[in-house]
Amino acid sequence: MYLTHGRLLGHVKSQFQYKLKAYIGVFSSIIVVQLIALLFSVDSGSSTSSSDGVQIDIDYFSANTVIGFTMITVLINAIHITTKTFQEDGFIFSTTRLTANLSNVLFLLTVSVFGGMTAMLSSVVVRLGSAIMFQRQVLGASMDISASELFYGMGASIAYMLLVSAIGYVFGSLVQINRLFMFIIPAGLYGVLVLLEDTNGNQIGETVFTFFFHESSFLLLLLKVIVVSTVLFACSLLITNNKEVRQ
Amino acid sequence: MITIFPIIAFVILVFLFILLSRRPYAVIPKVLYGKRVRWTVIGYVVALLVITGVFYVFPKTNSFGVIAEEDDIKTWEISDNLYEAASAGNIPEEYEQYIEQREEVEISDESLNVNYVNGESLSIFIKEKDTNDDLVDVTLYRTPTTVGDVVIDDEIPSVQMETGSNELTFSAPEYPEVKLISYQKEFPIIQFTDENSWMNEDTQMGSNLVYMEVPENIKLDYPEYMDVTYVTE
Repeated sequence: MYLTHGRLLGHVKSQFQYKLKAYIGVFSSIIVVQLIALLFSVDSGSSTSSSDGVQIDIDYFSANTVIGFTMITVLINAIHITTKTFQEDGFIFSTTRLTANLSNVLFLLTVSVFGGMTAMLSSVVVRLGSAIMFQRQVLGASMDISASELFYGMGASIAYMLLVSAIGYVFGSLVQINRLFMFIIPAGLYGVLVLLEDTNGNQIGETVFTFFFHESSFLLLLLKVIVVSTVLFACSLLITNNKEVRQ
Repeated sequence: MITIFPIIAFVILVFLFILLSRRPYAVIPKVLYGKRVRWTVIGYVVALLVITGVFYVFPKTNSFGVIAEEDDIKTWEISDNLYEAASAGNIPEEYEQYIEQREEVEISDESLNVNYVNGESLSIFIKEKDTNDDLVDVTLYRTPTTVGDVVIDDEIPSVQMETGSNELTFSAPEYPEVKLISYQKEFPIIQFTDENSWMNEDTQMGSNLVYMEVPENIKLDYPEYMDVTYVTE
């Protein structure tokens, strides 16, 4: 089935709006997971130093757990959205694989923005909450987090959510082609990560990790994530495009 | 306890995922599905934004310690160099910033009693004076205690020095247990800064050192446990 440009956008829009309503549980699952992760952020680590009778105990707090948990939730939801049950929900509209995929991408983008933004804002909750709960003195100015830091952190968080959602979506799409991919992909990835080393003896996984997580330029990080995510979503489109609509 | 947190969290996460994926939603609170969930989502975002606003509006006054002007304070290096200079009998002027207390003790007898109470060990360096002026010059040095780039000397009481008739007494204070909170910036932030990504602030404990210049006719009496070094030039 082929659609003209205008009709395509119209179909994508109506499907996206439907999915926002139908899959609203995805947002509530992110909220629940973030609230649980906030509890685990209460004790992120501690250290004790002592000498000549002086003892210094430091408890560390961070919202890294919240961001990590949100990334896992987004990944799981991106995989889940490719399953047959979810796909069939969209078929109440006149649809093609293209419109279904594009509306899914838009939905995952919305989920990523929501997840990244709320996960980063929870860092403020961790700071205020622990200060009120523990009534302890704070080391130096470690509690401070500037508005620009929060902004960049939010942008990077959203980018990571988008990246994991693209990974989840392509994985889910492959599994829909053949269920064996469910086992082949993790095993294959593990094999590649463990066995392959680059010329400097570094693991490939480490190189990939450094490629994103050690990128010190905000704009470059965004560019990397957008390019990689676009490629992954395009792959999903190609993978599923050959399937019949209700296959 | 901390190590099992991720496992418990993962189990809860999987359980929730299964719960939220199931239909019908018989066991899920109504605020997490159906028409009410939209308000839950909006309420959550609004609550986070309000908390963020509160965070930036209200001043944070419970800060502990002073952020150092220098980027990289090497307390161990300062202590080592001070010890080396003291054992050579020549402490440069640059170490005057670490002087905690300086006293001149008049000696009417031929000996001076030196004591250290409540403490475990105190390093004392003794240099013989060229003149017999019946005065003992005592200087107590203290090197900074730092956590990361924060100097916390003002928050930790120092060793006290008291002078009496032919007597010099050092006493260790009752140290409070210092309990602090440190916030680590989240990984999507620190990748754009040079900050340490590990939850372990480098804690460097300062030390105390006593440098005494004593006339050669004065004998010092001190308990065996004291760490006394005679400076030989």
